[in-house]
Amino acid sequence: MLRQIFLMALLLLMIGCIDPINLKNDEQKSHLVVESTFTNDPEHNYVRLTYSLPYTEKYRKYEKEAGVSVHSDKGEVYAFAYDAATNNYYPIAGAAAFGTPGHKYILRIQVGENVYQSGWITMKQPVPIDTVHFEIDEQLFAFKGDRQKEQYTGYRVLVDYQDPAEEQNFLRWSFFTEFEVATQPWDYVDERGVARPKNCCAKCLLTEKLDRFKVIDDRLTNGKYIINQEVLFMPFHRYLGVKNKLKVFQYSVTEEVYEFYRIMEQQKEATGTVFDPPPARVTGNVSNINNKDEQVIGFFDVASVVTKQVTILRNDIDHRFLPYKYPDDCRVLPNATSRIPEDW
Amino acid sequence: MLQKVCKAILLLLLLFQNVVAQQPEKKLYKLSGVITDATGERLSEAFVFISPGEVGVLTNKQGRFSVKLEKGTYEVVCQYIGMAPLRETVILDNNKEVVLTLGQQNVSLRQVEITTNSIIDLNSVRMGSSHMDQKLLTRMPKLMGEADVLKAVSALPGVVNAGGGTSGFFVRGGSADQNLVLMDGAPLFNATHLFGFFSVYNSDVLKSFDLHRSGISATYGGRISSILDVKMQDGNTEKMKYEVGLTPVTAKLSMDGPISDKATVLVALRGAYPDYLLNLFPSENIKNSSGFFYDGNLKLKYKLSEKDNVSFSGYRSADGFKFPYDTTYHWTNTLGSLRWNHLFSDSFVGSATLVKSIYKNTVAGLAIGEEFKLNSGIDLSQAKIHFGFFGLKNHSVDFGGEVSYYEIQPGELVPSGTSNLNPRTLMHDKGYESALYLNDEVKLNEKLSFSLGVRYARFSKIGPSDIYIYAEGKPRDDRSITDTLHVGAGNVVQTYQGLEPRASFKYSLSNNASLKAGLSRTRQFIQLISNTAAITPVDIWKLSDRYIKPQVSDQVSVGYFYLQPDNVYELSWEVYYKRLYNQIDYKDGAVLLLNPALDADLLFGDGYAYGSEWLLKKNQGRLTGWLSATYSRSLRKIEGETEEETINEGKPYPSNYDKPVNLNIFANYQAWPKWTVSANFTYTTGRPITAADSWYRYHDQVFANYVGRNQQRMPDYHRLDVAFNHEPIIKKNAVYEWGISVYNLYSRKNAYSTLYQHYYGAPPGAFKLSIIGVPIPSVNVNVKF
Repeated sequence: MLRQIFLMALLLLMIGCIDPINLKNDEQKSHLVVESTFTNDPEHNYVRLTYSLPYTEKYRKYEKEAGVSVHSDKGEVYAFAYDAATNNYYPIAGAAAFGTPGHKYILRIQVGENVYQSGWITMKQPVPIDTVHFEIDEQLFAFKGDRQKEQYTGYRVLVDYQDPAEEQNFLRWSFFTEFEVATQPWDYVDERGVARPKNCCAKCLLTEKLDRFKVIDDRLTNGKYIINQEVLFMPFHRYLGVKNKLKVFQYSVTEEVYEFYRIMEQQKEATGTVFDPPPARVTGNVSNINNKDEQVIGFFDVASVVTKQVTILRNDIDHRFLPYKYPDDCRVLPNATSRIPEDW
Repeated sequence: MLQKVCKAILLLLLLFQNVVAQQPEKKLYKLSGVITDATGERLSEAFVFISPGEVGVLTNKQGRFSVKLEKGTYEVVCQYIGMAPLRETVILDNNKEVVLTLGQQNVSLRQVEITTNSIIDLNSVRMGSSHMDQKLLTRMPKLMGEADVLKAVSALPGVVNAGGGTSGFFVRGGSADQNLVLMDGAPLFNATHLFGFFSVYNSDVLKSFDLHRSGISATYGGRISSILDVKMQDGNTEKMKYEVGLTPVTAKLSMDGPISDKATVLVALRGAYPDYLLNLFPSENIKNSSGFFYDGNLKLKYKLSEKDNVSFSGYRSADGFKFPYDTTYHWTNTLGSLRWNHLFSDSFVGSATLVKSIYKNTVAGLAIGEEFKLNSGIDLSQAKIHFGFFGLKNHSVDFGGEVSYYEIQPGELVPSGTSNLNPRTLMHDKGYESALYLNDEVKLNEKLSFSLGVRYARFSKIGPSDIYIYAEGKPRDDRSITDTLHVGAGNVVQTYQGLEPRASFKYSLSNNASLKAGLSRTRQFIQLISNTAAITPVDIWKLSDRYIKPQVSDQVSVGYFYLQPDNVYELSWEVYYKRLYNQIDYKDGAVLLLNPALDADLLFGDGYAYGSEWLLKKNQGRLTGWLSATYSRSLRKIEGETEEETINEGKPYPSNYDKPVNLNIFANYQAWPKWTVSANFTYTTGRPITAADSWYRYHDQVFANYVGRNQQRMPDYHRLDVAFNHEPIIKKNAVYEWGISVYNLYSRKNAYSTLYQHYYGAPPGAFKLSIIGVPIPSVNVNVKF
C-alpha cells in the first residue's frame, strides 16, 4: 500500500516543484546517534556512533572514544573496538562474536561519564529465503552521488519465502553486491576538454553495500507462502553490464525495530505531497541511564539473518540496453579494484 | 448546566411572548405574499421593505412573507441577490395577498449587479453567514476554467484553504471534516474530483451556497465548525432550455424546463478528460497515468397542488485514476434527496425529506504477487421532518427532527490471483444519529431581534463490534490489549447524547448599524481519520465509539455591522472564541489502514480557537467586491496518561489549521461595456509544521530529527488570480458566454508542504514543495439555447 501511495505522491511531486527555503535555526541541537546491529552472523555485527548536527553544519561527526559492549542473558560479553578505517566499532572477538536466536542481548555504551544502554532484546528466529529471482521493470533510481532520481530499466529483485504462521514476523533486507564494469579510459577527457587517453584500466570489480529502508510485517500475510516480494531494484546500467554477484540478507527483526525502520522509510519516501503523513519523531531503544530526558537517536537492532547469493550474467538478461559509459580509469570509481580474483 | 440554559431560554420565550401580548391593539390588516423569480421559483430570504413605517421582513423558506399593517397605501420594495429590485404600490384596505415576480438584473455600465445582499446581513439576527449565488461565483477567477464552490468559500472571512490547488477548507480553526458539506440537503463525504483539484459542484446548474460558521440555527447540526449548504437549480417553468459548456478539462451539457404544466426537470452532465494534459508532461510516469471523472445531476419538481410540491435531487459521480504499472483508484458518490413541501396554511409550512448518500472507494493493485482490491465506503440514510410556523406576530418558529443511519465499511481487502495477501474485512461501523430541534426567531421591536433555539442530539453506535480493553497505565497499542468484548449485531455499543443551545441576538444601533451576538454548542459523532493535510480517497470515516468521544464545540461570537445609507459600502467586524472538546490527533507513525485497533493510534485532547474577522464590501458601481481580513488562532492540547500519548509535553500547540493572518481581496470591475475584469488575491500565514532540530546519517542515508509538533511554520501563502469575463452575447436563438482566467498570475511558488532532503553535493536542508508554481491560463465557453 505504501508503494501505491508513494507513486501517487510522486506523480503530484512531478507536477509541482521543489525549492530550498530557510527555516529558523535557533533551536538546533546535537544528539548521539547509535547505529548498531547484532545478529547470528558475525559479518553483520557492528556499532557506529555519530552525532546529529545542526543544519548549519555540513560534515558528520563521529564518536571514536566510546566503550562499547554487547551482553547476553547467558552471561556472554562482547567488547567492541573502534576501527578508524570504517569509523565503526567491531567485536574484538571477530568471527566468534555472534548471537543465537532466542537469546536476549543488551548494548552498553560509555561516552565520558555518560552511560547509554538499550533494553533487553530477544533475537528472533530466522525466516529462510526460498528463492531469489528477477523481473524486468522500469523505475526511478538514483545512484550514489546523483542529485535526482531518473528512469532506468533494470531488474526488480524478488524473494519468495514461507511466512511462519505461529508468530508475528517482521522482515528487513540489506544487500551486498560485487559487480564487474567495463569502462573506456581511452576516451578520457580532462577538465579543460583536452583528450588524454589512459591505458588503464577498463575492467574493474566494484563492491557496494545497499541498504534500503524497506521493512514489512505479516499483518496481512500471516502464514502465507510469499511470492514476488520486491526487495530491491537494480538498474542494468552499471550494475548488470557484465556480471554481478548479489548477496541478499533477510533479517528477522523485532516489532520495535520494524516500527523504527517503518517510520524511517516513511521519512525517506516523503515527497511533501498531500498523501504524506506528517513527519514523526523516530523513537529509538537506547537511552542515557542517568538522564532519561536526553534524546538518543537510533536503535540497537538485534536480528537473525539468512543470506542468499545469486549470480547474474549480462548474457542471461533477455533485454537490450546500452553498455555502461564511463570514459575514465575504472579504478577511480568508489570501492573499485582492477585485481579480479581467479574464482570470479 | 445545560438544563439551566434551556430553562432560561424557555423563560425568555414566555417573557417576550407576554411583552408582545401587552402591546395596545390597533386595527391591522395582513399583507402577505410570495416572492418568485421569472421562472416561478419561490425565493427564500428575499428582503421585503415596506414604507411608510420602514418595515423590513425576509421571506421564509417557502418564499412567503407576512406583515400586519394599518390601513393605507404602501410602497413595497423587494430585493434579492442577482435580481433587479422591484417596487410595487399596494393599497391596503383589507387583508391582501400579493405575488411579486423579480426579473434578472441586466448588467450594463450603469447598472452593475449587487455582489452580496448587504441589507439582509444588517437586519437579520443571523451572523457569521455568507451567501453567494451562481452569478457571482462564475465571475470569480477559475482554475482550468471550472468555477468552484469550494475555492470560492476560501475567499470568505474565517475560511482558509487546505493548500495550493486543493479543495479542502478549514473554518475558524476547525478541521476539514468538521464542515458539513451539503448538496440539496444531502451530506457529501468527499466533495472533490481529481484529488481535490475540482469540487463535485457543477457551476452551470448551481443556484447558490450559504456558509454558516457561527450563530448556527438549531435546524442545522452534525458538524462543529460550519455548514456549507449548496443548492442546485430547479428546472425552469417556461420552456426547455439547453446549455453547453467547455473548459480545458471538462465538457458540460445541461437541460432544464417543464415536462408538463406541473412538473419541471433539470439534467446536467459533466465529464473530464485530463489525459491529454497528462500527456504533455515530459515524465513517462505522468504520461502513462490516466484519469477521468464524470458526474450528473437530476432534479425533478412536481406540483401536486397549490399547497403541495414534491422535488427530487439526485447526483452521481465517478472518479478514476490509474498510475503506471500497477494501481488504480476509483471512487463514486451517489446522492439522492426526496422532499415533500406542504403548505398547511399561510403561516404554517412543513417538509419531509428522505436522504441517501453513498460514498464508495476502491483501490486496486494489479502487480503480480500483490493483486488486491481494497474497498471502503460510507452509506448514510436519513429522514428529516421540518415545520415552519409564522402565525405569531414577530415570531418565526422552526421545529422538527431527523434520524440518520450510518454504515461505514472501514476496509475490505480482497486478494486475487497470485496475491500474497490474506483477505481481511474490518467490522462495519454502524450507528444511529437522531436530533430534535426548536428555534424561534423573535422580532421584539425595531431595534432588538433574537433567535433562540435548542437541539437535542443523540447517537448510538450499534454492533456487531469488538471493543478492545487495554492494560491500565500503558500506552494503548495492539500489544497492550488485554481483552476483547464482543457486542452482537444490533446491540448498542455506546450512546452519547446532549443538548445544543443556540442563540443569536441583533440590536440595531441605527438604521445603518447593528450589533449582533451568537452563542452555540455543536456536536459531531462522525470523524474523518486522515493523517494527511487534505481529504484523500484513502481516508477513513469513523463513528464515535467507546474511545472516540463525540467532538463538541462551544462558540461565542460578537459582531458589529454597518451599512452606508446608499448601500454602496458596508463593513462588518466579528470576533469569536471557541472551545473544542475531544479533538483527535495522531501518534507518531500511526497506522490507519486496515487497522482493527485504530483507536490505539489516535490521541485525544481539547482545543480552543479565537479570532477577529473584518469585511469591507462595495456593493454598487463599476467596481464591486470585498476585502476580508482575519486574525485568528487555533490551538490543541493533547495530554495523555503516558509520554507516548502526549504531544509537546501536554502544552498547547498550534493545530494544523492555525493560520493567524488571512487576507482576501475580491474585485470585479466593469472595465469596458462588454468586459468585466475580476481579481482575487489571497494571503495567509504559512501553516504550522513539525521541524527538525538536526540532521544525521543512518545506514549512509541522511535523516532529519523531528522534534515537537507544529513548532515552526511554512512560508506565507499568497496568490493573485484574474479573470476577464465577456458580457453574454445574445443572438437570436442562443446566448454565448465566455471568459479567460489566469490562476496564480504572478507565478508564486507557494509551499504546499516542507520537507528535509539531502541532495548530493549540497548540505542537507529544508525544501518546499509547490504544487502549482506557474500561472495557469484557461478559457471557458458556455452556450445557452
